[in-house]
Amino acid sequence: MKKILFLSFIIMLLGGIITLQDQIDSLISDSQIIEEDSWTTYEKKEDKLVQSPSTSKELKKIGAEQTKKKSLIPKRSLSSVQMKPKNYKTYQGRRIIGHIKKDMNDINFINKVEKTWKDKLSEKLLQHRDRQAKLFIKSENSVIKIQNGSARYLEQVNITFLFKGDDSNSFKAFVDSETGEILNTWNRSIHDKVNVKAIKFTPDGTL
Amino acid sequence: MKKGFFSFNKKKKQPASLAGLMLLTLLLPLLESCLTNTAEKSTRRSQQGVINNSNTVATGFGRILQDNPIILTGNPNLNPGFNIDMLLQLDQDFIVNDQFLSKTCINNIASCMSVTADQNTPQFNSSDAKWAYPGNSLEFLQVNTFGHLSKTIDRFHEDLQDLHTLTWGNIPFGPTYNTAIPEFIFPNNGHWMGTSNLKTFANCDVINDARFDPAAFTICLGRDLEFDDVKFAQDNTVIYHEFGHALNMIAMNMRNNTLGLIEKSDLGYLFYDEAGSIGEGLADYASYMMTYPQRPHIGEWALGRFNLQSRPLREDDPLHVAGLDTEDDSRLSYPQYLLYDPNQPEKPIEDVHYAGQIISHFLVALTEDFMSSSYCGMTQKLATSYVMYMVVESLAELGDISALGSDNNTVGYVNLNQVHALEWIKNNKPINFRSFSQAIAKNVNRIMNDFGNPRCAGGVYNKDRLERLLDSYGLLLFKNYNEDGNQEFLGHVGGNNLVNDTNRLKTVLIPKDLLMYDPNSGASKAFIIDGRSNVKSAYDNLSASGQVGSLSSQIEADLPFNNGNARVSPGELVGISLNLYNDSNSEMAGIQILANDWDHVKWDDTALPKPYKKGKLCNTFGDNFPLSSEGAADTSAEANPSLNAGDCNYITRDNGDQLNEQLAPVCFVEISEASATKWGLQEEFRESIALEPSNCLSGSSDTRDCFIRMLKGADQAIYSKINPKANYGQSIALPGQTINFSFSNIIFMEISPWIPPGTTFNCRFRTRFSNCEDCYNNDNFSKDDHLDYEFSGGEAFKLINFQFTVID
Ligand SMILES: [Zn+2]
Repeated sequence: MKKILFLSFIIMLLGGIITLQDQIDSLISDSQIIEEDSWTTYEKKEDKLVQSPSTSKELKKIGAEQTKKKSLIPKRSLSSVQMKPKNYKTYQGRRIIGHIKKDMNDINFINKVEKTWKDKLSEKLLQHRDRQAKLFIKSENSVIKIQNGSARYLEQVNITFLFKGDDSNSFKAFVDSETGEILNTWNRSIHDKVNVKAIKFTPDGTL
Repeated sequence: MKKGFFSFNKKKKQPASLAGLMLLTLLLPLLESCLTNTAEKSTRRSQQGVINNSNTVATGFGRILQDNPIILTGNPNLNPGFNIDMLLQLDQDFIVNDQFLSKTCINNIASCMSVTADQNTPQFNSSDAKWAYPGNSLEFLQVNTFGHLSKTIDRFHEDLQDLHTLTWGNIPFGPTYNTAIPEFIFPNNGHWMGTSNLKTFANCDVINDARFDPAAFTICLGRDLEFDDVKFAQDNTVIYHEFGHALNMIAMNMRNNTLGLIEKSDLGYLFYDEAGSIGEGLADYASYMMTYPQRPHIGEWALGRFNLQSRPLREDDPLHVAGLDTEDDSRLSYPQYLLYDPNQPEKPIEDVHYAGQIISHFLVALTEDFMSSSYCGMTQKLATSYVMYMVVESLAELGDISALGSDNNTVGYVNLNQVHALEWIKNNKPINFRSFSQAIAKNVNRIMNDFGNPRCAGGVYNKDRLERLLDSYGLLLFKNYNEDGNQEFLGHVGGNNLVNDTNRLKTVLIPKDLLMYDPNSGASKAFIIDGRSNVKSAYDNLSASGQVGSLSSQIEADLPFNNGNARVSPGELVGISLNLYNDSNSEMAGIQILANDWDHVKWDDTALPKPYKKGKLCNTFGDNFPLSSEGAADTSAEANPSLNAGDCNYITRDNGDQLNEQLAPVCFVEISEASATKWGLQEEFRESIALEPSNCLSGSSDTRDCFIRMLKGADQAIYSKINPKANYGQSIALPGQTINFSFSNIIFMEISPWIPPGTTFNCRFRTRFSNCEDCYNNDNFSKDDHLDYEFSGGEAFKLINFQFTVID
């Protein structure tokens, strides 16, 4: 009995290692494909969404710089030959993240790419806004995320809000390439404000 | 008199950091007499102070303030508009051998940091690369910022190189322990954010704010609201603190950046949480590390002088209340001092900066223990370097999205796996005072308690000594050091160091079952926020900060259905805060209410491709929900624990990705059938009322949360602490005050407009807290930590069922 248990443990372990290797294979390095003039400014004026390429003055204000040309970094130095991670895999020119399938042509995509994703995203981000805000969106990367056997086209963006009084907030996000829906955010601003009262809500009642 | 805040007595108010002031007043002339005069002839100190111009410095040099103006003048009541030149020393500081304030970093990062006046102004240039400007000029402010930042970056990289040598430099044997520092960190620029330039605005156009923006990789140092010429960049401790945030981010993502992962982990996700508090404590410690001689106080000028918001880093600081000192029984301990603002000790405040004081004080105490002449006898530099090694190791492991935790580990050692690591870091196993203390302890133990490399005065730093120090801060919250990690197959097979329980004198661990709904008669189950303007403003703030993503397209913009009737109505976005109670006799802290999907359904249609749609609720978690007569899954034939994926007694190993397993949302619905009513899945209810899948909150691609969907990012709530035999409201509000909630206390739910009024839902939340006796360990495995996959299930949590009926 003990032997059987031990054997099944070894089998599980091996199985685990194979899955782990699979996962390590899916590790990918940052492609950092930078698009030319990829920042766009959005603003709500008289309830209409107005968009324009961000001006260099605006970009300075949010601490961003306009990228000049399409480039593929990183430049490899000699020592980076020692880099452990493998090169990222791509499909349709997009970097793949998640469990990579052997044959990408067989995979089921749950969305498609629409050119309007950025407009939809900006619409969503400005629709509930009471405070006067300028919104800046920069496309940073296009990827395909594979999870649960399905694939989804995603856009990696940098989102910056500039509020009246030069208060600003920025973060990065993965956005659905069809609907503009935000799926995950990271790198959010950390404020060390002094003498600012925390926003609090009085409940409307109890249940 | 109540325990806690209201019993604090303020020490007699004294000038901030008097000891520090005196020390510096004594040291200043000494520093000047040590002058290795590289200055030109014309340098002198006059009534107007040092003449600080290019004639008085060598190429590449300038002058910066050696500390903040309060410390340098010794005047705690210093007024704005003073002559900064008076505070400069004759000695010169190296700034940069360049015409611009731009720094080069190791491994040939051409421009890793640069300083400008503000967001709108280009870099100014100094054609002779001399950096001496009148103290009250904008140029000086930029040089001051650059000089301090540059020193901090050099120190950080120097420490990192030393740590890399300490671990990977042990050729040919490799690291003496499984370090989280990547072997190829430097060639991959994991010691920075790739080759990015940290742009810093010394005179940033914001008021009463200093900020680190990781997405833009910028630091913004603002000014005082009242006094325009009081600049945050005049206070070196604030500059160090802001860089401390950058340092946290680099350390957290050291492994992610080295591997080139796109997504990053953050230290803190809510307005208030323990990870964010740890981040603030660490940023304060970065200031302590950079001041020499060490100054255990931060922000006397920028934060304290006009806003009374400076922070001590040691218990004997005069700003602290009476009763705190550096004795074991009088430390600034967790969770007693979690809501303690030394500037206003009578007023409890749930704020990351003040909660973080516990971490900064602990790390300062650890440093001083390393320096203690009767023990390790290290220099300040060496002691702070060692503490930084432990901090960087801990953050690099805990923030690892590759789920390895070390180049030498297998995937799953930490944060489950690469697909779900971020879910672990954000929700299922966020960094808290327990996990951070445990990681620090593990690293102190393996670096300082290594007989092969005796680093403490020729000996080792004793494990009991470490545990007693942690305990004096209430931080001995863990039972083992968890060296074997949390991987499914390996997480219980390594040898772990166990905590010596006799060292746990002050730290109190509470059984999870003592967290419950307020049992008092008439107490409500939850507070509800559904007024339109309140919820609109909440969503506005949450989405602008990036905490939450998009609303469902089923929820109308402008939230017209939010009616403020304190009920859950169709079409609303609703905030709820559970009325939780601590039934123990000790303070309970870091209470987390999770509303994300978990493994509590037995799926029936597993023969079909995913997503599975048909299934029954598991009643195997001790919450007696639902009864088998109310639609619970049949588990009579199951082993417990089970090895069959799909069973209720089997916890998914990969958060629902494997065959036969799938997570389910927290909310279920009451479905009336001919003979009885039962609890069923939202999908089953959708079919019963024949609602088109496309009308579900997540659209037709996922109908599992068709009617009630938790707003991602606001799908957890945190309560800093709950007093003994009290509810959260009683713990946070002053007597007589009504309770108000901050963003971190509220879970937001989207309510489908298609719900027929009268429909009843039950949401099964998972709750736990940081000083929990039985939320993190498995006593069957020598008190070893739970394996990561177990946090997809219900065992490690106290389940709280919340029922409500949707009405118009
Ligand atoms: Zn901070």
